[in-house]
Amino acid sequence: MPEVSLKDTIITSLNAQEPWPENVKLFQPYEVEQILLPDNASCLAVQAFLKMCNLPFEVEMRWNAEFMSPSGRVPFIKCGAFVVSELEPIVQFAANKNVSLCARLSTEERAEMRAYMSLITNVLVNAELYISWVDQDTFNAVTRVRNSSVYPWPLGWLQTRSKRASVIKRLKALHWHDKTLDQVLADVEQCCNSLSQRLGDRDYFFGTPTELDALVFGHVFTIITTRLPCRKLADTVRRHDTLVALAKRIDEQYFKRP
Amino acid sequence: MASIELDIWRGEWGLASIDLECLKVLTYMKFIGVPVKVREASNPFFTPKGTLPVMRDGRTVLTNFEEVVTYLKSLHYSTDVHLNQKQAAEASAFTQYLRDKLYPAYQYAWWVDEKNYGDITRPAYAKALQIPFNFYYPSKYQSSAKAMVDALYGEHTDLKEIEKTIYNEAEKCLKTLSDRLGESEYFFGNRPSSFDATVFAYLAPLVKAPFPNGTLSNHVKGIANLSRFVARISQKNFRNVTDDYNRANCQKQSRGSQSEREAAQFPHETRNKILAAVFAALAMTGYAVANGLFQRISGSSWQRTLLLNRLRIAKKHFNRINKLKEMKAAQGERT
Repeated sequence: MPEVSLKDTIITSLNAQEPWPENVKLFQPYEVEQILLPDNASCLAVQAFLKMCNLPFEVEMRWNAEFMSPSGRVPFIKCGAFVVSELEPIVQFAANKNVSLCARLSTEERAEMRAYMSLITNVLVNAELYISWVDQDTFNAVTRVRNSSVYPWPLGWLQTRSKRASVIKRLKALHWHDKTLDQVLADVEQCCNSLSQRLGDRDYFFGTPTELDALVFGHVFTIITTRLPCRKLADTVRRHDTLVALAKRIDEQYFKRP
Repeated sequence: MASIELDIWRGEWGLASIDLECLKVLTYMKFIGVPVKVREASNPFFTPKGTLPVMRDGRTVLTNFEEVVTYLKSLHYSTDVHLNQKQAAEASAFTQYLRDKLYPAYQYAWWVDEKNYGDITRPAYAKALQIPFNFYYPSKYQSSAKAMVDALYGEHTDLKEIEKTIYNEAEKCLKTLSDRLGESEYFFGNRPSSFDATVFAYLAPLVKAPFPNGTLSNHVKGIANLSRFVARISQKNFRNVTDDYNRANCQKQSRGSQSEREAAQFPHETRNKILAAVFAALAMTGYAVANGLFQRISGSSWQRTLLLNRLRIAKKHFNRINKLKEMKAAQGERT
């Protein structure tokens, strides 16, 4: 494995020399007619993170963003010669360019932040996937229509089918597929409880904005603003006022339309 | 209160159980000191979900750690009362963190890595199981672990790449855990909590099992405060298990250094030789019979018997003729 780590270090050092370029583009699916709940949440989280860092970027919508991404998941950014996808690698990438939101945190606080980020990716993301792809009403009324909207007729059907199979495979592997909706909601409730306990009555989790705030904003804001036939998920999250207030605060501060 | 029963996978290498989930439940029960009757199950076929551990208390049958914690809490057994709400939130976040980052690596090291699976995992589980089941369950667990790794890291096509990614994440996770633990005795205050049981269950098998391909366990062993944490908890709660194992190990080593080991092996050696000889003889005879090597001998002897019979009959006739001749001669003399 030495040659691999050598390659990594070369990339890192090359990357560190260059400042943040002007023409960074963030690729994501069409927001109005195509994007699904889980994808939308992660795209919003990345946007919030980049805005918190004051890094300029342009949003570019492509119907096939998912297939352009190196990891197969949206969103991804194109920054000079580099293509980086998903929040965690993007945070790492920005940190290599000396742009970081958690530089002043102690090691324990950083450990805590990573744990809470895992909590969200493990519970909220899986719950979103569950609602979108496993819950029959939502799947039929929303997910199927939106996911196949960009493809011609037989292809849309096939693509939805294969994507659903892969999502279900993932949920099965994580033992989420055999849960009932109520158990999923109970997990979400517990996750939100933990988050709002940690947040308390502060403005941000660690005083100033961090990537954890960006991630929480992405998920909470998307869940409470997306209209779905199954309203239970949104209701569960909306009961936690501090999280909703945090999402609104970040929305006003960073996403205010001129 | 009816006594609580717990069925688990048997232990090995100085562990109370070889399985992560069993070890979690068992450690937690040791922490709170609830009276429990532990049984080493030899077959998970009749359990509710086809997995172990299974906890039974009267009519209540529980199969996973979270349920057990909740149930024991309802009986007023809990280790988490000294946590405030913020700490409880943190504990649940860290539990998910381990599940997210360390669990795939753990499953990879135990089941997906072919060398470890062949040398360690499969023999250990096969030893714990009864005869028809030990052909079925290890490969079943392996395929479910493979499915999980494939579902989570399916975007990498190469297994080497997957291994590198998983172990990298796990290493970062272990580093984070070690930062969080620092030099304190337990993760939250100076009393054990359910989170400590979880961490111990993840780390102890990695420290104690002798993996041939030990990338992950070397990461754990390389972090001083985490290996001290494991040693401390197993010393405190599983002293009899570790002591038994150490004693057995010492005996084996002292024997191994002398020629006593040969003496101990001697009867087996003779027995094996005799068995081998008998088997070889049987096999050769069988082969010979099957190929008709004995047919000529047996055929000729049959013919010989026929010949002898004919000779005997001829002799009888001859005797009778002689007798008749003598009688005729005697009659002729008389007349």
